[in-house]
Amino acid sequence: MVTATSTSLLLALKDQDNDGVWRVFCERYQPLLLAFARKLGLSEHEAEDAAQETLLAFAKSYEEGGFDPEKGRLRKWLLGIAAHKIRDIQRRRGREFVPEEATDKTGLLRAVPDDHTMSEIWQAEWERGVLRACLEEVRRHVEPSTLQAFELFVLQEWPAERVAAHLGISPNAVFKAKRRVLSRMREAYQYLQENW
Amino acid sequence: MSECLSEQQLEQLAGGMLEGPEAPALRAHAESCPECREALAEWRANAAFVARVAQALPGSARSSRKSGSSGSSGATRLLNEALGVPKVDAIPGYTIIREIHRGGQGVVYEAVQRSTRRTVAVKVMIEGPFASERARWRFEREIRLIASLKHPHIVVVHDSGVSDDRHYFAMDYIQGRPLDAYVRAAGLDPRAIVRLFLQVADAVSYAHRKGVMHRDLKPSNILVNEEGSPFVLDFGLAKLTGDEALESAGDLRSIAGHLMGTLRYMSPEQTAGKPDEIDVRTDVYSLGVILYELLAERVPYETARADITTAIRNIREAEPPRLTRTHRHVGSELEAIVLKALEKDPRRRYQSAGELAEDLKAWLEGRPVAAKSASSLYVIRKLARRHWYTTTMAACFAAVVLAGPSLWHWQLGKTVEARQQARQSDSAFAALAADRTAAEQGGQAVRASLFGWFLAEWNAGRLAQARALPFHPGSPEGRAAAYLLDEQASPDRLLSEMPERHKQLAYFVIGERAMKADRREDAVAAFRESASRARQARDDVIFPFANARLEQLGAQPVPAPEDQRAQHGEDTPRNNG
Repeated sequence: MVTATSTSLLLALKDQDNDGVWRVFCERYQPLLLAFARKLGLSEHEAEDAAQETLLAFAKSYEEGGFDPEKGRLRKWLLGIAAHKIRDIQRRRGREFVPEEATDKTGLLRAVPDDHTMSEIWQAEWERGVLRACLEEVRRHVEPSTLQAFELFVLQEWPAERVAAHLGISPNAVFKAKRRVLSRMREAYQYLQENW
Repeated sequence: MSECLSEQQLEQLAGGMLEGPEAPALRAHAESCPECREALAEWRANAAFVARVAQALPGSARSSRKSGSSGSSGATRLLNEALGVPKVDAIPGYTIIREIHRGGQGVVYEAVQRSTRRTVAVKVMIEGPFASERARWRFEREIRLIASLKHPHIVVVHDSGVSDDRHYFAMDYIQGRPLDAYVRAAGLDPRAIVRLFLQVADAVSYAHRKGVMHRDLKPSNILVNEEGSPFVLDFGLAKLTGDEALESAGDLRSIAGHLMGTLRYMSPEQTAGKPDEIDVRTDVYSLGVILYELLAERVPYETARADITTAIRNIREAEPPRLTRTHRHVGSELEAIVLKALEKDPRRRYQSAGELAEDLKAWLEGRPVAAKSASSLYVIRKLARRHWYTTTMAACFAAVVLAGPSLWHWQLGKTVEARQQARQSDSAFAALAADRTAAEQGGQAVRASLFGWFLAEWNAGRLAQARALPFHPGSPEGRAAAYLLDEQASPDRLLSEMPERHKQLAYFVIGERAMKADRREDAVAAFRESASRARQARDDVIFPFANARLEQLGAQPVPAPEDQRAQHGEDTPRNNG
């Protein structure tokens, strides 16, 4: 497993000069925070604000000892800060929350998200983050050709025959690639689900 | 013994989707054949995994009802959506192979250009469609300019367009690592760092000559390949995409989303929210930050963890810690080069990436560097910072010479020439001598600069240093200096000795002494006289400073002549040597 656990990242962050770890930390959680904020109806700029402010607030509180990994989980802690920042931003602009999905359907629903809704959206985004990390993990452990077959077949949704012709392999090998990559992802998931 | 199941059949069996007349036989085989059984178990576990993932992603449930026309099952479709992978066919003419990087500006893919079979990097920007036809026209003009850049260290942009309402660019695919990571991993010494960096500066200089600014130079935009060759990426993209964040941080929100690392390469003028003040010297500044970082293994100022306001204040005001203090092997000349590139005021920086490259070359070849001779200015500023009210005075007096004509609309041809000669000999003393030579040639401004320095020293109580400055004893400045240095000297005598047209200087120093001795009334009277006479004599150096002193003492300043503006514009004294 090459992906750093959040515990090890947090430990490394204790070293104040460790800019590199800080960057890894931001690169890991910023996309998650951005997606979360967008889902809650924030504009691109606002989402960027929310993500940045959340990370900075986290760094500050972490440096001041406000977050103890022993006592709570990073996932929950970040959600707490992000929810606060997002509500702040919504208050600032004086507009009401417009959930992306709801407006897609009805164009009408406007409500401030309750904690439960926020938490659900957050869980889903977190899950996406973990899955992406799993795929990254797999990238390091399987043959590039296997991964490519998987990507074209599963992620690009090409028919198996087209993938096979494209890569010069048999359709059976395409399915086999899918099985292998999924298995590796599953293994990575078992570990990263708790530790990412 | 029957034949083994295909992987597809195994997957179908695991998902309970295996149908048809052969199904029972296949199922029976799968149960008896160890190989098939094992594979089947794996497929089942995978299916459970995908189902588990789907459950955790409530948002995906909606789309799972869409029909899956492809070879992948409905469940893996969920996985696919969860990962948010772009479709390879998203960009016409290209096959996307994989995602390389996802950043604040956009996503970069490795792709194959189908017509040429060339592997390229395609950057798909996050910004939306063009606001207007005019914006599109501007975009197309810029992209042509960027595509015209042909330099061994600039990544070539081959193609661009709009797909799905998003701009994309296709460029050379460079397999390499960011400049800072490369330098760290390779453990380069300062000379090797400079040699590598010089290629970058050359590339930037080339683009500047072609009229293209970068505006977003940072280590992650400079990739070094396996052969140790650097490539600058994303030339002009910041402007092209109208990325205001990179144009300026006037709108603080706009910079927030960029990855934490971006802000630190931003120049003071970029943080000032004045896009019209941004020019090639902005790139020079960013290059300075990068070089500082490579040499010092740390950033010149804290920007990453500070809040944005503090970060911006640091960029605008904080002096970078001296490199030589922590990294002796860097040496004072190389330090001077870095600091010159990092000057807050663009006028004091290298005026182009080419000048910076030239100085780096000089350093590599052991020739004197230009940055070092300007360090007298650095000294003045340091002094001035401690004694704030002399600040403007000393710096501006000095700037008349050092920053050149633009500041005061004076063309001091001879002065500039003399200073350049002084630079060659790389010593502050020679620079001073040049000042004196030029002073003797009659350049009032030059003498004024030396005098500004003198005042800074005198006000700081460093009389020995003040005495050491080489004034011509009979010159107006020489007399004025002598007056301040001798506590017994009488003001009347100074006034009688000073030629009529330099009396404003005499009154100025009389005011200075009175001010220092806390004789406010005398000081006000002297500065008022000085300002009036300076106005009369059109002495643009003394006039503002005498007035500044009056203001400082809480007295009414002398009004500026009404035609002063016109004087500056049209009647500017010129001396093109």
